[in-house]
Amino acid sequence: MIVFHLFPSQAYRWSVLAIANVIFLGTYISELQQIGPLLAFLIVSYITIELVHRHRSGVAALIGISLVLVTYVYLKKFSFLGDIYTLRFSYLVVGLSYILFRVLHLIIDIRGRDITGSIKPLAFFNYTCNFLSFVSGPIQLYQDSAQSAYHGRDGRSGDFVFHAFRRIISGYVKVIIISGITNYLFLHASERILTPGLAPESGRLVAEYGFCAITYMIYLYFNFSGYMDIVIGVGRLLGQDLPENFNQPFLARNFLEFWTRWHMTLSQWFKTYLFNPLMSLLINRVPQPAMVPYLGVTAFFITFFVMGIWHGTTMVFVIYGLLMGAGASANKLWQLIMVDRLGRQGYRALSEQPLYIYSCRGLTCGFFAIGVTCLWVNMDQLRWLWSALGPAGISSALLLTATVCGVAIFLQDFVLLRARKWFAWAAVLSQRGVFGNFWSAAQILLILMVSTFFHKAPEFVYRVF
Amino acid sequence: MRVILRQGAALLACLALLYIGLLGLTLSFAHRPNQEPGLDASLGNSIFRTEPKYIYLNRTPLRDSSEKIVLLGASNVDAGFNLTELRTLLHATATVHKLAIGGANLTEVREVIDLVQEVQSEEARRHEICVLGIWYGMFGEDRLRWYSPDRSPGDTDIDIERYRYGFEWRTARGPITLVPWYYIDVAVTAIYPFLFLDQLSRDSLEWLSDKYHAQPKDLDTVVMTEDERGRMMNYWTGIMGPTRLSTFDEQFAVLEQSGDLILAEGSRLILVDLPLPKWHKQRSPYQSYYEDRRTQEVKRWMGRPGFVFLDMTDLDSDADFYDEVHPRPRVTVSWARRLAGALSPLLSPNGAVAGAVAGAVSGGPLQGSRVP
Repeated sequence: MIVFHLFPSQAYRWSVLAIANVIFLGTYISELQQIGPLLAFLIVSYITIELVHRHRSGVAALIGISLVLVTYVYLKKFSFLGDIYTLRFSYLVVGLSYILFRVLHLIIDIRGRDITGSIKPLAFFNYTCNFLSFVSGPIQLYQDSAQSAYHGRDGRSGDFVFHAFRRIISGYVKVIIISGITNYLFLHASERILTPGLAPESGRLVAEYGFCAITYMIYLYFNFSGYMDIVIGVGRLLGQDLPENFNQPFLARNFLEFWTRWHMTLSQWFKTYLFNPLMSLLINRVPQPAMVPYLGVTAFFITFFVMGIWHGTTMVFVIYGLLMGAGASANKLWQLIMVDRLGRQGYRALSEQPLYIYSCRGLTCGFFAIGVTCLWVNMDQLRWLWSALGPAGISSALLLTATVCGVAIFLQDFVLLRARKWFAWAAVLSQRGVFGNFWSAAQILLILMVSTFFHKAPEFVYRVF
Repeated sequence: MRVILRQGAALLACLALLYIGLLGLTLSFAHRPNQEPGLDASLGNSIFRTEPKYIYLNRTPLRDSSEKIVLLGASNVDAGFNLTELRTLLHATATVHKLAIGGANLTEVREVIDLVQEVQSEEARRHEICVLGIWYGMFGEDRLRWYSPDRSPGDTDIDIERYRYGFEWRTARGPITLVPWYYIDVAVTAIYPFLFLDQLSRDSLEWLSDKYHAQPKDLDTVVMTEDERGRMMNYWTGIMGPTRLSTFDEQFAVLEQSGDLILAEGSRLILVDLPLPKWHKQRSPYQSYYEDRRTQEVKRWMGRPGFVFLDMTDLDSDADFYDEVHPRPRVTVSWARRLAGALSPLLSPNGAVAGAVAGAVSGGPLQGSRVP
């Protein structure tokens, strides 16, 4: 941070950032050859981008996208490839998925002339391998990144810096305290239900599975959103305005809205580069206006299916993709049916009923909690859970998690609204001056103390995707 | 940049002030470690709360050169040897310290030995008798014992304490000490707010622990059901892994190194083969392999100055155990007396640890010199 701010020159800061990125990458490897495949991927991507920039042709873009995708699938060792053609040494794949998103965005936007100027190698490296967003985003557009970055933000006010610090500290509170505790609970509970000899009888298994599903979802949210808070806060101190990635997802009233609040930059990327082109393609093929909403159902399924598969390379992620796709398309279909039956106004009136709202919010979170089971089991464990719970058990677990989430969200609203009113004075005080700094210091102390409770430091869970 | 530095400094100052206040508060109110004439890692009311933490942070009293007996092993050493009885029998000649850790294997016991020796001078080691209680359950391989999702791969419970407060630094080549042992008492005082919060949180969650891991109220009368016995045998199969002689290779090698180290440093070693209930010995597929290896090991050491083997496996009546490993409280006095009998010849009347002693004190197959 100090080195970065020593001189205001943009070239200097770009170089410091590039060195920081190299050092960051270096922390992931123990031998030089481990970085080779990632470098090769970057070089292939850069050459492709340059070619598309020079020719601006659809064919060049298509070949470039195919080349980048094939290289990505090969390096990620997707399980359907088997072991035959894979590289025989271990190498760095962390961050590869997010580099892919950035590279595809560059190819498509250069082809579409949304990016006009040439991209220099150092700018390309800093954009694709920015250490702040390397591991798991947020996925920033190149245009926004180039606009916001490193333009000498020394004029930042004390208030701005104070809030950047606060953002970082609140991120650590989320990652270490909340996600650490929920992860502890989750690990102990899941070990029991995933071990055939230890697993309880069916009724209790449903309850314990529901508990695991909910604790994992909470863990995932606080771990990931906390990491984003840290990244965004540090970014602000380095003059980078990184985009938000979460917006209170548990307030979503349906599954489609949920994904506009959860991992927002990923959802936005898929909307821009998969859903929208797919819809255009489908509408061109099936031009009847009456069919358009149903084409949306299909496009949602495909988009969410692909987004699910993106999370991993094994069969269990295909199931995750199917579940997410089914959730999104069922949500869209439900909206169409309800509008058809009740009319737009009737459906809108129903959607404003508190019982309906909390039922939908509960079902959304419950379904997501059950869906993300695929992120904490392998295929054998999933088979075991399926055989132990059966369709009735899974349905009961969904009902249970939906009910628990719905009631919890209702209580949270009820308590939060009052708490905000009662403690408004504390909220104001904590935002400034000596009291604000003491409040932050107390949070840091709590973070340090809670971190000593655990046997190992909490990891950032999205690193593996 | 100035504004960032100013904000950082303000935050640090607030943090320091807050911590100093908290330190003063906790030091005034918190319960200090009790001053018994010896250490007892199982003391649940100490600020350290767990055995590994107690041993790692509270081992400096072992550096003095008076005569001392250090009990090492797993939970059956802790539960089996009645410390009050042992101290009563031996108080005139030596101080008894109990540093057993529940669920320990030999790797962890070796770490305890290293931690103890680290704080001791040669003179202090020469006035020490290590009593190491063993049974087959302590020979589970590290890969089955210390590789669980909630810990860094391979970390024992002692390792976790090394890194917990930053006293040691984890590297690929092993831990690097950041706080040397001679500063550990000062460092413990400095982290008192952390220890206090740990104590507070454990106390407040005790009801939960009692709910899921509650022991029967009267350990002298409780009887294990057939179902419970079956479950415990499955549990030990999980801990031990494949049923074959080589399963024991890794941990017997650690035992060998640990014993050699103790003897080479001038301390005495009493190796105690701890009893199990008859039903357990008969059912366990590991027991015979263990006995073979233990016999070989004892033969290797027999005749070495300072080594004594105490065979207690004859105390194997099913009625004397409340579960598959641990003796009933009423039996612990007789265990302590048996051990005291083996210790007495090593302690001279005026308190000095006797010199060269070697032999087997046994009710089992390895006959040697007997306790009078």
